[in-house]
Amino acid sequence: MKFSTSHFLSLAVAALIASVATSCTDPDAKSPTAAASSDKMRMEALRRAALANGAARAADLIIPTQPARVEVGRLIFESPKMSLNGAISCRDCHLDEFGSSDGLPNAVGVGGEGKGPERLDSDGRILPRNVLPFWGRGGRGFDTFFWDGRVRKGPDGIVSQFGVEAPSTDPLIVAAHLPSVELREMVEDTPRIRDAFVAEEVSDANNIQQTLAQRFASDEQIGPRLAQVYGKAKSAVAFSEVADALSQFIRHEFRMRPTTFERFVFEEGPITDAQLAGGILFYGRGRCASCHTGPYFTDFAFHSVAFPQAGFGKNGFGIDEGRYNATLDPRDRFLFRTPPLHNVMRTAPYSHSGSVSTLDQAIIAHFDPLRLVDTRSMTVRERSDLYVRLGTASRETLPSALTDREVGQLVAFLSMLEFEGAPQ
Amino acid sequence: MHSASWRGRLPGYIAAFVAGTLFAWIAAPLWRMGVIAWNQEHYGLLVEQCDTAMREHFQAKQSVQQINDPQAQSLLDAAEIGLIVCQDYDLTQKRLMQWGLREEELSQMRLKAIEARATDLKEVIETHEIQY
Repeated sequence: MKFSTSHFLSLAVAALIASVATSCTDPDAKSPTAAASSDKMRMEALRRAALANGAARAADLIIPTQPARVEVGRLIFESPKMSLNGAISCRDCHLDEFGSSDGLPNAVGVGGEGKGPERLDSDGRILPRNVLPFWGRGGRGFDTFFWDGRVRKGPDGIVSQFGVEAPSTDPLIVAAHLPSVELREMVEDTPRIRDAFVAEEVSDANNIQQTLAQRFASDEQIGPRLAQVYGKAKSAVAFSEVADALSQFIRHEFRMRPTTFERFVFEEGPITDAQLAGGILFYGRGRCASCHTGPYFTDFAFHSVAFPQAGFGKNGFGIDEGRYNATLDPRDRFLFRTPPLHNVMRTAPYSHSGSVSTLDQAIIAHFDPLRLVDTRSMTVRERSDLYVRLGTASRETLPSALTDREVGQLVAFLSMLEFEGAPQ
Repeated sequence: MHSASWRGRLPGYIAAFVAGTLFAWIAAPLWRMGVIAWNQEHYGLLVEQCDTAMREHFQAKQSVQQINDPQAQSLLDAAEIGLIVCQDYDLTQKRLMQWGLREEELSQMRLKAIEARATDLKEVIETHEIQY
């Protein structure tokens, strides 16, 4: 075939259009040489930032457990006998399919039936906060529990509502003591219960828990194993053994596992362009690592983000004053513990009240919270509460204004924190 | 024969040359306008982001000198990584130069990016000024 001038011109025009299109539609288009050297620099910067911010291998964070105790703990975790006058187990709200939480904005406690959204159709008691996932709980250095940090390990020992009578020096075991005595969570709120137990005394909690311990001890399946692994007669089993076994199970089942990010940081594993860009944002202009730092991507401190509030709130009428409920220090109003970020892709909805359903929205709430609310449809009271939350949030280290594309890159980066081989 | 044919084609060659020159003369600015239009939004965003990153870095550095605490140091670390956006700005600018833009056009694009906020201000004034 003869190659005519028109053929040549057509080819040249096509090549020109293709190159212009490539150049103009991809904002990140770089020459191959520049891209290679720039990416290498960025990958190195990301690794250095991760290590400087305490990134650690999962294996270094695991506290060993005893398999026999873990197995008893598993049975206790899945047993409704943990509820004094209802039928709810720990497993009902901590499900593998919802990333070890329940997939709901506000938890549904005692009286709830089914899994996830099914629980909303049941007659369960709505709890004011979003269920926290269990990943990493009880790992090395994971010493602050619950949204408001009401159990934590301080320099002088355990700080909790037990005061000087904390049942253990292990904060996970202390935390495991609480749900079983929480009204509406695992205890049905009835007049009889109120008369008998609701004096907020440690002795009341002990009474409930001693009853629970005896229930487990007399359970055909759990009782003999519990007595055997702790070397006690069934009649001598106390709630401290129940809580210990439960903690051993949580510590083992939800232990830290390697992630793509760990492979990237410590083994020069692969990373996509979007993940790399997201990582640079996370440690750079996003300023995420100001709070989401350390091996669990949390500083275990208390901060404010002006999330919308969903549900009745811990303090009622759509208000949740967070850490203040635990300390009564006015400086702690509307502060919540920085949530860890491992497996965050699987733990929607987000925030202390589960008010945002996607990770993109959760990120946007940090720097552009008004985008997530329709202030005109709110009551004066709701807007007034929002102003207070905006006030506390504005004193935090705020990220730079990020574009939606950059938010997407941050989400891509966070996907690197998924555990390899976690329960599905 | 060959010479006559060459002479016969000469006017055509001259016409093609003139047309080509005219086309190039007209096409060059059109080409640059096209490149500007395609890239203004992205380049303008990088101008703003790099400017902000530089300002934040300067302020973070000052904070470390004035209040030398871990939080200030952490913000400086973040600000240093934040400056990487200025490399994106530089690379984009070089790519635009490879596509034929000169410093004049680039400064015009930067000016447009800066004035984007001024347009917003005009809208705010129009919305809120008292109308007599």
